[in-house]
Amino acid sequence: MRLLRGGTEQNKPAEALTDAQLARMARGRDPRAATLVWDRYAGMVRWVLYRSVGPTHDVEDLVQDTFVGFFRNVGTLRDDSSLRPFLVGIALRTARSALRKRRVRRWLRLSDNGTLPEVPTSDGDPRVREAVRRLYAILDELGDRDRLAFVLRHAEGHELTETASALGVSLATVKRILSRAEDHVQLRAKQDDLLSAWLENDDG
Amino acid sequence: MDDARTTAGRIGGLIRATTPAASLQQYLEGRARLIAAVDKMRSVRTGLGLRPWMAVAFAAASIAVAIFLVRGRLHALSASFVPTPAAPITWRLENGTVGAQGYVSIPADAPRAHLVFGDGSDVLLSPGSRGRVAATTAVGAEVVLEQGRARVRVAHRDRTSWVVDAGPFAVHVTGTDFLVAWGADTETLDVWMRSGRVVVGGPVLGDSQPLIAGQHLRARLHDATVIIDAAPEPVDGVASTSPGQEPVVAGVVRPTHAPFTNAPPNTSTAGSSGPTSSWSKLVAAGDFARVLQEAEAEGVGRAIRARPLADLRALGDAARYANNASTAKKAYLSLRSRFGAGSDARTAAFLLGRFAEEQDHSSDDAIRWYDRYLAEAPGGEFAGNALGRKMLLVARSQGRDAAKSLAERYLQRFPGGPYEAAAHDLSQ
Repeated sequence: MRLLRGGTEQNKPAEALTDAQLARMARGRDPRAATLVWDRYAGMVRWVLYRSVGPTHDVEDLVQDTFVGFFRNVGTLRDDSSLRPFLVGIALRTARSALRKRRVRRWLRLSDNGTLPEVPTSDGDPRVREAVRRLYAILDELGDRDRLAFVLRHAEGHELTETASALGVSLATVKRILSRAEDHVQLRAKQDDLLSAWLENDDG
Repeated sequence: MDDARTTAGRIGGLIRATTPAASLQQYLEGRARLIAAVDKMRSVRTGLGLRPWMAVAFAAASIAVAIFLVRGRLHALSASFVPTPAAPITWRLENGTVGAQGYVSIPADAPRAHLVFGDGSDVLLSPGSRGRVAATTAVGAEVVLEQGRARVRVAHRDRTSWVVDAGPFAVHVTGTDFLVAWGADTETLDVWMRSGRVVVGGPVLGDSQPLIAGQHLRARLHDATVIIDAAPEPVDGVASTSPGQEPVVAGVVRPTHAPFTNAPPNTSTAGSSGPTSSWSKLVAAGDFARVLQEAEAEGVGRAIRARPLADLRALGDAARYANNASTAKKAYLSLRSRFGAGSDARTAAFLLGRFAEEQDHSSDDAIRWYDRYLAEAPGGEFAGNALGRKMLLVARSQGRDAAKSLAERYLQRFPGGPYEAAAHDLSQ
C-alpha cells in the first residue's frame, strides 16, 4: 500500500482517496495526480476504447489521448465526484474521433478490402477471432453513436441512464438508439453462419 | 425485441471475453508517457516565468475584471437566454429524397437539393453530388460529402460543433459560410471561404489548416500539393465545373501544381516554390541525423502516423541514408498505408524490396515488393531495376530455369539496361 505525502491528502493511502479528491488533485496540478488517476482508471478506459473501436494497433495511443484530454479539461469538471463518467465521456469522444479517422483512411484504401487489420484478441481460437472480426464488421455498419451506445450498454454493462448521460442524450433517445442498434446487430448476426452458430451454442 | 436484446447481451459477452488486457510493459509505458505529458502541460502553463502564486493572482484579477465588464450585460441576456436543447438538431431535405442512413444522392440533371437543419444551418448540394448526414448532436452535425459540391452555412451559436467530411478531409466549423468541393476521382478538395473561420484537417495538411473569409484552399492527394490563395469561387457556387478539374474563373486558369505550404491564413501562397517541410530541407542538406533525432524526440511511432507525406518521405530517406533500416521501413510502410495512391508510395514499394533483399535477406519478401512495384508502376522510374533484381532473386532461389522468362522479358523491355548481361546469360 502506497502512502501519499504532502498536500491536502497527506498520508492517505492511494486506495483511500475518493474520486473527488483525485479530481481536486488533478485540477490543482498535484504532481502525483497523473500516476493516481492512471493507476485507478487506465484499465477501464482501455476497455471502453478497445471495445468501442474494435481490434486496433492504436489503442495505447487512444488511451493516452483520453488521459491527456482529461488533464487538459479537468478544470471544466463541475462535480468532482463525477470523475469517472467525465473520463468515460472523454474516452467516447476519443473513440468517436478514431472511428471517424478510420472512415477517412478507408477513403484512401488503406487496406485492400477496408476490413480491420488482423490484431490478436485475448482468445487464441481462430474461430473466435474470426467471429470477433465479423462482429466488428457488423458494428462498423452502425452510426458512431449507435455503436457506442451498444458497446456501453451490452459490453460495458452500463445502465440505460449512464449510457444516456455518457452520450449526452435523453433516456428516451438512448432507448430508441439501442433498439435500432440491437435490431440491426441481431439481423446481421443471424445472417452470418459463424456468428449465428456461435450464438446458438452459447445458450448456456 | 427481447430476442434482439438477448442476442445483444451475448454479443456483449463475446466482446468482453475477447478484450485483451494491457501488458505490464504497456501499462508502465503509458503511465510514463502520461506523467511526461502532464509535466509538459504544467510547464507550458507557467511558461511566462510567473511563479504559481503570481499566475493565480493574475488569473483572479483577470476574472474579476471580466466579471465587472460583463455583469452589466448579464441581466439583459438572462431575459432572452435560451438553453441549448439536449436533443440532437433535426434536419430535412428539400428537393430530394433521403435514403437509408441519411444517404442523399442528387442526380446530375436534378435541381439543387437543400438540407435544412433545426439550428438554422443549411447545406445546398449541387446536382451530381452524393453524401449523407452521418450524425447530429444538440450542437451540430457531421455531414459527409462523398462527391460533388456543397455550400455550407452554419449558424453560429455559443457552442457549435459541425464537421463536414469531404473524402479523407474533415472541415471543422464553428459558424461560417463556405463552399466545399470534393472530387473522388481526382482526389482533390476545394474550400472557398465566404465568412467566418474553419479548420481543415487531413492528409497533406498535417494536423490542421485554418482558413478565414476570402481564402481558397485546394489540397490534392495524388501529388500532395496544397494551395492557399484568394481565388474566387466558381460563378455558380454550387453547380459549375466538376471538382478537381482545372477551373477557369474570370478567364484565368488557376495554378494547381503549387507546392505544399502551411503559411499563415492571411498570406497568399500560390506560386511559391520549393518544399516547405523542414525535414525535406534537412535531408536535402544532408543532415540526416537531425531528422532522426527530431523523429525520436517526437516518438517515431507517432511521427509516422501523424506527419504529412513530405515528412514521411524525408524520414524514410534520412533513415535509409543513415543506415537505420528499421525506421526507414516503418516510414515507408506508413507512407504506403496512409498515402497509398501516390508516386511516393510506389517508390516506397521498390525501396522496401531493397530492404527485404539486402537487410532481411528475404528473397520471398523482396520479390513480393518488386512485384507490387511493377504492378503499380509498370513504366516507373525503378521498373528496370525491380525486374532485374527480381530476375536475379528468382534465379538464386528457384533456379535458372525459373528465371528464364523474366530474363527474356527484361531484354525485351530494357535493352541496354544494367542487368542486360545477366539477362542474356539466364536466357540461354
